[in-house]
Amino acid sequence: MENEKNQKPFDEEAKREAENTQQNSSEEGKKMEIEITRYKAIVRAFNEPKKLAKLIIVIALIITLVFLGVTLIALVVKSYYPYKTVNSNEYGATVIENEDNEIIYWLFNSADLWANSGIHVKAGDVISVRTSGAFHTAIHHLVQDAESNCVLRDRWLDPMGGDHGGAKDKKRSKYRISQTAEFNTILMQVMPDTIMSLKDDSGRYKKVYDRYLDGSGADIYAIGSGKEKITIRNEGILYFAVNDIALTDKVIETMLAYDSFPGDTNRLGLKEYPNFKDPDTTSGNTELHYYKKEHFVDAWYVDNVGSFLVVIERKKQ
Amino acid sequence: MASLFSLIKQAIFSRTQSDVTIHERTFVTELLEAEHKGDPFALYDFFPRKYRGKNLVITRHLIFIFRCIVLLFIGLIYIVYDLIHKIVTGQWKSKRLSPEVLKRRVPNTKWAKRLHADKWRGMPSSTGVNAIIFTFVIIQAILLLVFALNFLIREVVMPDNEASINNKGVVSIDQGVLETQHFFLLNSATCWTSSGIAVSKGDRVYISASGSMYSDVGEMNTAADKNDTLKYPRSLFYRDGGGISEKDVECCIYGRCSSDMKDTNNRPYFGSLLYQICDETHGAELYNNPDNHKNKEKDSIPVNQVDFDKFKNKILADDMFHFDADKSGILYFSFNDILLDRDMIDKIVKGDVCSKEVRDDMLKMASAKEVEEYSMNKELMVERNFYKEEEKNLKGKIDSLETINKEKKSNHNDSILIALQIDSLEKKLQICQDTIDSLFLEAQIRWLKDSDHVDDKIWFADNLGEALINVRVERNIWNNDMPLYKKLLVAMYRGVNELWKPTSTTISWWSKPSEDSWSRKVHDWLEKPRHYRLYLAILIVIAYFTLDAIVSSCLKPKKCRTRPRRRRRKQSAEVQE
Repeated sequence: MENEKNQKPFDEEAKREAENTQQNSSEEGKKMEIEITRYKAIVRAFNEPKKLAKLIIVIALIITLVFLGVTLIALVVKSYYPYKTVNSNEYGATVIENEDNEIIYWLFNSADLWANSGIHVKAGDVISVRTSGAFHTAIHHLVQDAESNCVLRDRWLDPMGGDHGGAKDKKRSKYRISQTAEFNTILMQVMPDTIMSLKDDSGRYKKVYDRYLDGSGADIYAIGSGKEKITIRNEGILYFAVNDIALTDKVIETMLAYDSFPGDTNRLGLKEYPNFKDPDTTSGNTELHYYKKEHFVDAWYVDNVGSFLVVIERKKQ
Repeated sequence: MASLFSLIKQAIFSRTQSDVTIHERTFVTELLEAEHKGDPFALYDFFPRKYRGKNLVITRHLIFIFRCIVLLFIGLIYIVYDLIHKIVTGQWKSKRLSPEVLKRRVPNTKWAKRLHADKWRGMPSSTGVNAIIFTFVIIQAILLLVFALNFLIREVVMPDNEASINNKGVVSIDQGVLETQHFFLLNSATCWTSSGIAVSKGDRVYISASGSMYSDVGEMNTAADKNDTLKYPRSLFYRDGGGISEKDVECCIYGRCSSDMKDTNNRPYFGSLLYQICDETHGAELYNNPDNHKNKEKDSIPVNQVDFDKFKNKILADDMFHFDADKSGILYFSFNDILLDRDMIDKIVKGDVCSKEVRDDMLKMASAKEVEEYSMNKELMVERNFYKEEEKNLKGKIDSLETINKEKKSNHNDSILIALQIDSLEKKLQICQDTIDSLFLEAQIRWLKDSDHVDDKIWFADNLGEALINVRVERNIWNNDMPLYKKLLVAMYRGVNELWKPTSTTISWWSKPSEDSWSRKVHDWLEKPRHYRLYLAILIVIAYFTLDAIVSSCLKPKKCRTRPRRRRRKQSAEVQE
């Protein structure tokens, strides 16, 4: 419609021109010459610099808009169908994304009790986890045995874990984070993403998260050296730990109750209250009493030596 | 056109015309024969000749420079056009032009008339110049679109992703759009490890790390043996991991310089991850030493701390610690621990900067036997032995006096006299013992300061743990050899990407508002990526309509313009009259 409207004045002009020509030709002996100027409008536009400048601005705007649109489309395509994209999250996990899966590498130190991987998972996600590396459960034993050149009393453990065969370990096994999983194997837990830190400023674990620490009310998966197709039950962040005993108040109380069974004390092979500290005679004199007083939940973790490379594969749905 | 043809037909059938000749002029003919309107440098008219604005940024000088650039561009096109025009019209053969051509070529402007019309003879029409400009813009636009599509497909959607490993064991994967992702394992027992990752000035570097470390394996062993708590918390590199240690931080490599303490939001802490960019031939600077930089103006601090929590909880998800490189060089990494160099030994001995535990730990390294046998300590040891003899004598005298005192209990006056003597001897003994201690301490310091005895990195060697470091480098586009069009495309892409996946820099203006305010609620709502995308979509729609309005106003300026108020008043006054 707009073109037709624009066309009209030019047609009228051409008509007038033709009439003039007709008049002239009738005067000159019935001879008519018609000149068709098809491109007059374009030429006129070129002759007007303001119009041309506006036209150029419009073209530049259109190009910018097209580029923005195409870039947004490219970004959407990239986010849904990434092609070997490598990223990392703020907790140091390396994420290699592909069209149908993502592979995440993350280093886990065995001395950390529930180390935050920063990997967010949703309920229903299907993931496969593989681990490699080895760790030792007691640095002081390692040093003493190395100094005395004798066979290690505690062997280095692979991600599958295992106990050291002593009666003490067997009795203690029911207090570890997961009773069904092997002792010292690698565990994974999904914690709500509202938990920013399990520790306070002084480095001690916050008591409010005890149920996540000792596994009593937590969503725990036994991983070992690897586990295929784990279906995630709750949304949250993945945390990792080895299956040892997290000494929360509740666990310590249960252990002490078992240990002080009439006529059969120190069944768990507990050591004495550190001799360089003033014992709290009212509560008790074992190492557990000291740990409880200090809220030293990871007392049996901090002496671990060694790291694991955790590889997580997540299929895209 | 239909009306024109019907007119011709009518003329033929009514036989008013005996002969009809129809000439259809081509676009080139029309263009070449177009009449002059405006200056040959036609776009010049588009810009104001006089600028009356009071804007501080857009000054008359700036407008003048802009005009010069535009005129230069148009002038260049004009020369090309003139050449083509002369060849097409055959003007290059004859020097004289027909009067019709000359008439057409005199511009019908005041400026041209003022400058004598004769001077403009032989100059082509401005229409042609404008046509070339327009064609040039159209070709450029098409090329830009083709390049943009090629760039987006090859660099964004399906980049090459070539992986390589450098001589330091760092795995590097190209990510397209001038981005490279690197990752490597860093052992905590080394002081300043070269990553071999080259960065240029202006590059943006993103860092993250996983793993943990403990800074004293000996203490870890003792604590485990005694069932004791650890002296320091384990270092997880980020603060919200809990338990950062700020104890003795003034002895650490990042913290010993007064400038390290200036940033209150990023206070140094023990066991943190440090980085610096330096020339590989010179190697890393061990710590920030103001003496090395006092002669250089605006010199940056080489050693910096990675603050993994800097952008957390303040901005949107996936925002990692990042910084803009202020110089070119190689990235070096280290953990924040105590470097036991000569200056630090002095400071620790004085006890100004550290706890007593650190001081005792250091002095433990210099055992009595080694200190006594050290050749540089001979004089001190002779002096110490002299005082030791003196100490022995004094002790002997005191013992003998005490024995006499015990035996002669009857005489009260004698016992008082002996007690006074013992007292003065004990004072001398105390001075003597202090002298012995100070001489031994001096001998210890001499022994410690000898580079053969103590490695200055000895307290790094007892660190236990490692970190998997991720480094993403976004290259500075302006400090690169690639073509300009590609630079522009990358810049535009990054702008869009920044909006799509914003970092703290994008919304740094959006400071955390106070509690219980409406802006705080909006801020918290926006922190979730899903909400941000919605917000972004609304912004894009608004931007689209704004651009649409601009385009429409450009195409139909009359509709958008309003009549000036003065003219309207004049017209209304005329109507009233």
